[in-house]
Amino acid sequence: MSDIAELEALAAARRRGRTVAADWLLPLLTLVALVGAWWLAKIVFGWEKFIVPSPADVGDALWQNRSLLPRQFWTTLVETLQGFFLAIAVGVPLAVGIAYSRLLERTIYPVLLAVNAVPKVAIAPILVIWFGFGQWPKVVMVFLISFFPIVLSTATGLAATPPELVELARSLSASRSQAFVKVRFPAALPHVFVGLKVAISLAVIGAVIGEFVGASRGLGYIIIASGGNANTSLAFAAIVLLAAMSIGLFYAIVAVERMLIPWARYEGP
Amino acid sequence: MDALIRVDGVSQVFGLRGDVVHALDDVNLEIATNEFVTLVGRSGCGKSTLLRLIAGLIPATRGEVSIAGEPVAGPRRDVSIVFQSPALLPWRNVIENVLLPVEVMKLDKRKYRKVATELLELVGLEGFERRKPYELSGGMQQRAALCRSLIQNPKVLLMDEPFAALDALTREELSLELQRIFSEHKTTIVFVTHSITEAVLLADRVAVMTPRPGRIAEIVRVDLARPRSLGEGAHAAELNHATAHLHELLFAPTAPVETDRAAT
Repeated sequence: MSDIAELEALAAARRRGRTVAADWLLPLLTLVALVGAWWLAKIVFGWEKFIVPSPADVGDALWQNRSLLPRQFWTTLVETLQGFFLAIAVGVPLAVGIAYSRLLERTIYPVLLAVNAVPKVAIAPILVIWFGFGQWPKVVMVFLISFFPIVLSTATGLAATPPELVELARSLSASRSQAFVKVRFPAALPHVFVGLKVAISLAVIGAVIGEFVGASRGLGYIIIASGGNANTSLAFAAIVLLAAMSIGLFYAIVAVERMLIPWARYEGP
Repeated sequence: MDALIRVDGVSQVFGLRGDVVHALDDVNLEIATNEFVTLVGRSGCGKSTLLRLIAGLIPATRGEVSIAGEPVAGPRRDVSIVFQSPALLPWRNVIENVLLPVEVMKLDKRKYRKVATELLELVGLEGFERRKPYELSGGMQQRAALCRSLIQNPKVLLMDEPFAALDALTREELSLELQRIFSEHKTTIVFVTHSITEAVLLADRVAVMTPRPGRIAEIVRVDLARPRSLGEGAHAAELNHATAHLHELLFAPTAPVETDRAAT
């Protein structure tokens, strides 16, 4: 018995070791290789600093602006999260409506598709006219860009309840609300999270687009402003921070997903 | 014999992509309280359809199904189903899954928690109450599903090929256990299967069904004491005899030949 326990512990330790290597080491190595290639290319081609800064220049810009950048980072992060949560708050109930009502599906769904087909960048200047230069046009842009994948994935998930669970609910004479709360919505969660993961990456892009058009704060504004005075190193520094934000938010969602729906790893959406 | 379930002249027709499938044709069947009846036949013979009619999941095109003298108009609380897949909710642990009907029917959950624990003990799942379904084997999942179907102490238990997705050994093991559970937890069971051996091993009566249109060809009584087993013992000869008879019924030269389109 203790032999078996020992073997199991050993196997688990080995699995853990392999996961750490796969989860952290490999992406890190890729990143290091890419930065190396960038540096090498800069030396080989002799690019000017204002055209392509070296990784050291970018690091320097990050350090020089260490009091400025965190505030800009925070601004963009808050806009992103506000828009994202707004998109969840509006998108999920709307998807429920679409999944439950033929009428809503027929009326709202085509409109959603049409709205989604409009390039969001084209709307950005109009949002400035409507909402001014504060945080609101950015929040609305984030909302617009991340809203659609959330609605789509939630509606898909609600329509894809496994038939045996639907029949189970029916055989128990569950009411519509019981079937929704106890079966259909939890069963849809793996799909919902697919949408959330797509949406969070788009959300950061939305915030940057909003800041490009009319802003005096945020990482998007830093990129535009440093482009104006050829401070390419600073623009790159802002881009690095945006990438970090995007990755961090994505993995935050993954963490919530693992906590809320541990079964999805075994069954898959 | 006082019939608990009465299937009276039931015919069932489905429209399927413009085609009309005659799933059941004038089926009559009476099942007594605490009787174990298996429905056996090829795919497409309407055995699952018949089960769904008794469950009230679909209405009959013609004829009537009644339980305890009341016509079946929809799912009833005293009738529960075990499906081919365990259909456990993956986000709930085993005992919460077993208690799902209690929640849906708004019964006293505290009182039934004890019943659930006893049922899990009965099927050999004690100690697994807090496990999630994906941590269990297929056989254990189906045992948990069986507990869920027994929690509200149903008058009728309908089983739709409950062991079909399991491997042969687990399947036989569960057939033996179902007999034990049936003897300790008396209820009326209608059990759909396409395994002749399983049908004979479990049933008081086996209803043999033939397809296109689905009909009950013959009802075979299996008068053997329980527990029965497939091992060497007193029953081997009788079980063989009944099995051989069913084989002849299902594979008789006059029996309709399986075509490429199955109705279910």
